[in-house]
Amino acid sequence: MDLLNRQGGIILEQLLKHGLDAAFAAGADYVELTGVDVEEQKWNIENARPSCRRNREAGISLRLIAAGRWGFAAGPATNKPAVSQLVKAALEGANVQPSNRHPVELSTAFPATGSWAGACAQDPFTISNAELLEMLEETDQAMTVEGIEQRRAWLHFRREHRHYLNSEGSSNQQAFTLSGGGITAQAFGEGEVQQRSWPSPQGSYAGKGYEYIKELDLPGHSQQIAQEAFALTKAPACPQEVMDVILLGPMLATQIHYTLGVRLQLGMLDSLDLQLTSQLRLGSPALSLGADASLPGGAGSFGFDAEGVKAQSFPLIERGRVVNYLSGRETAAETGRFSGGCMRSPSLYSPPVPWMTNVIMGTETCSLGELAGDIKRGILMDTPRSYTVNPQLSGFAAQSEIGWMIEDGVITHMVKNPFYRGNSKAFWSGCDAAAAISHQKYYGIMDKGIAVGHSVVPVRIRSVRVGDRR
Amino acid sequence: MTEKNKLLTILEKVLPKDIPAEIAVVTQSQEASWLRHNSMVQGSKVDNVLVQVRVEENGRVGEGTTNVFNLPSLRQAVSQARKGAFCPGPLVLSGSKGYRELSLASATLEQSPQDRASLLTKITDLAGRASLLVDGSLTANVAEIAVVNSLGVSAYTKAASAEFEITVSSSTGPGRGYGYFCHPNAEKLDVISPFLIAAAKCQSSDKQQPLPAGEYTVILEPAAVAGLMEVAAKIFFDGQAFIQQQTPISQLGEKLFSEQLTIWDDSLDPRGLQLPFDFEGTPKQRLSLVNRGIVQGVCLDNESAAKLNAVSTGHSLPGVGTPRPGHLVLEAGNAMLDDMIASTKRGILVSRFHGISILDPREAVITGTTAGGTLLVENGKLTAALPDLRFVQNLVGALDSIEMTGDETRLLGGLWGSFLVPALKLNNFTFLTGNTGQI
Repeated sequence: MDLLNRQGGIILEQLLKHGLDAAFAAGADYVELTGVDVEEQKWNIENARPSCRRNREAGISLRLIAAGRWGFAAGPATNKPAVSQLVKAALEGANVQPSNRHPVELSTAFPATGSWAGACAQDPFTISNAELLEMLEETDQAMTVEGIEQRRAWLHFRREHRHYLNSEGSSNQQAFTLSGGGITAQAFGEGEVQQRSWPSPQGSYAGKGYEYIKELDLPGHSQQIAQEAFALTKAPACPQEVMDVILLGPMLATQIHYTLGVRLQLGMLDSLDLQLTSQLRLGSPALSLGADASLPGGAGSFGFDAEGVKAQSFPLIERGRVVNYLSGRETAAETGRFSGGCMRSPSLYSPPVPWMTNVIMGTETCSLGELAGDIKRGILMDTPRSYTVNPQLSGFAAQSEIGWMIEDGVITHMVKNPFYRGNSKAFWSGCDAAAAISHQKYYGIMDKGIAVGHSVVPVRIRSVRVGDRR
Repeated sequence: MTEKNKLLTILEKVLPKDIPAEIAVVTQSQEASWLRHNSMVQGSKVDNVLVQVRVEENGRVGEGTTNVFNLPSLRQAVSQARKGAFCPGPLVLSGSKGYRELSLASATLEQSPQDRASLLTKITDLAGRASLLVDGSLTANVAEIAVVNSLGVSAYTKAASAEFEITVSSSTGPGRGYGYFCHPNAEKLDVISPFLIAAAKCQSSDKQQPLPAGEYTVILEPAAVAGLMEVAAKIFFDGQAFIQQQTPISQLGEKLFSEQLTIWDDSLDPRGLQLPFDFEGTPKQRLSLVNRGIVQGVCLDNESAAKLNAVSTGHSLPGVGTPRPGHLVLEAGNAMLDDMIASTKRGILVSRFHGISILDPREAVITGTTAGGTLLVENGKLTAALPDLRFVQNLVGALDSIEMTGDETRLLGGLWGSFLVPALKLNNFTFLTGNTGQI
């Protein structure tokens, strides 16, 4: 932590305290400051061509309430005059006329102090360049099979030290290690590009060290995904009909992320009232979800959120009905609750927002075979290729990289371009079964710079409109 | 902001002298005021710095970045780049050439939080009187870009933009309207017109009727055209995608689109957000991309140009990784928006698109939804409001079916990716079922 914090945290702590005192002296009603120091490595190999980018980033963000509204300022401040400039900018941003007709209110939060460090059994920043290159080259080589035109494998390591202080007595120091990686192979067919990825085109992240990259086993999956990409160019197109669907893996994590998780982030829709219909039903009784910011190794795990509130674990959806939301202190106050401790920001340059932490899907008792066995005609999808939602988050359209047809309970053959769409609530209302905990898998999604963990088990959805792009 | 000479002197001091190297710096100061439900809820100021060092060490290329602009941190970034030089070289650098000096609109630099609050108050007062809700932001961006390299490039410029973006929503129904205005000079920012247009859209779209799936004629307002151009930039004009054959374009000179379509990239156009050189220091010039439907060019940076035995077109962008148009211009035609509506028997007026995603780059198949007000046109008149509609469309087919082109261009986008585009009337656009919430 040497860019900002060269003397064991003393300089940074002094800078944060200086900002806190200066903001209070100038009339702020509430102040919080976060000092951040980031070290990153991004490794990439594309058609045998390796590259590496190393990044260092440090700075301070300051958020305050004055005249009933938020003021926010951030920058690479490394000395007291620069911190004073942040205080001045944030105050000027908040202190404008006319005054805010609906002054910001924060829910009560008990001061929390402490330190937290994420899991990291094998520090990725100590792995030699030679070892990383060798693994990437092995992965690239294994994808070099017939028909593959583009091969890519990548790794991303991020170490972040964060020091937080607020005017209510909360303070904490946290150390995060995030490791992620993935592979993609592309084959060109007649006027089309088919691709297969592992675990997904955006890879997967965990709040762990290099041990997570070993778990991903990129070299071990390379050949199979490359062969599947080429096979897709010769595969039949996905039929256009209403049929049953089994979703699993990153395809399911993505579906949950955008059709359920984002909707539960309090304040994401235009109107809070829309979300606060008590016992809002978002799916069938087979659907249960929880949030757990303390999941060991989760990409969305922390000790304290961006408002200094301790990490929490709580149910979000029970048997299809919403029982809680992802909130921060402001949105919690608007709804008469305590903060869910879900405030997160993608970088020091953005004010925090309520966001998913780790989303844990409830399990049932089925095996994958039992899910498929009860399907007359359906399709299994596990890797997203494209995913979009409508502006009000009620509808979606998705395409998987690959589909596996299920006929009379048996997986028969692969199909290409499996596209499906629907209304989110209707889609999840069709969920009639989820698999047992023995099928539970973890994936980490990086969404707008914020890592979110997803723990999923395969689900069966009845009567989905599949394949119809018209 | 740092003084030009001071900034370049520091960079030249840090630039390695024993190996080919390049340092590019972008500093960006963004001040913004945010509206939520007619209240100004937040004022912010963010100062961001990106220093990117690229070196060639023993025939291999390495890269290091940092956001701390001081000598120890810059030297550390150089050292990291040297240690991480694994990519087969060479590092292709731009040669030293002159570039056009530009002046910055000082009003954008000087706009205060109170100036922004006063402008936003005009909008919230109007919205309150009409029982409408406004969410959005008013932003002033000022940036500096500096590039030095071993071949003698020493380039510096400033850039600025002021942007106003709002969504107007009904307090009683599903109606939405979208408003946007962008100008390099904050003094010339018009907030009233975008609000009035958005408010009218919102009020007229409160009662929505479903629409059967099918192919429709569409009238795309400039914000919707900018949405299509953003994805067109990735699919058709990205030099890296062209090299990797991930595009429908097999060779330049191919006629893919309607004769009404002419597109170029020009970062020196005074109507847009100007930038005199790219992030490798290559001077900017107008680049023809499509001329009367025929593909004329793709965007290149030094690396992609070397692969094609060509020269860079000056399209290296910070953080994007692949060369794309940053200042795309679509040639205006001679049709007024009213003419487009009046000449339409049955069609859809689209304010803008949301969440456009590429389903297949080689087939140029995209999907997304309409947003911010979608209206039905029947017998030359706007007759009903529609919900947000999902489309799945081949972009080549859409741009080959242009019937009319608007007579006025509008500036949309931000400092690193802007679009000067008119409205378009297309004869061929495929929508899926259009029931509210069923997309």
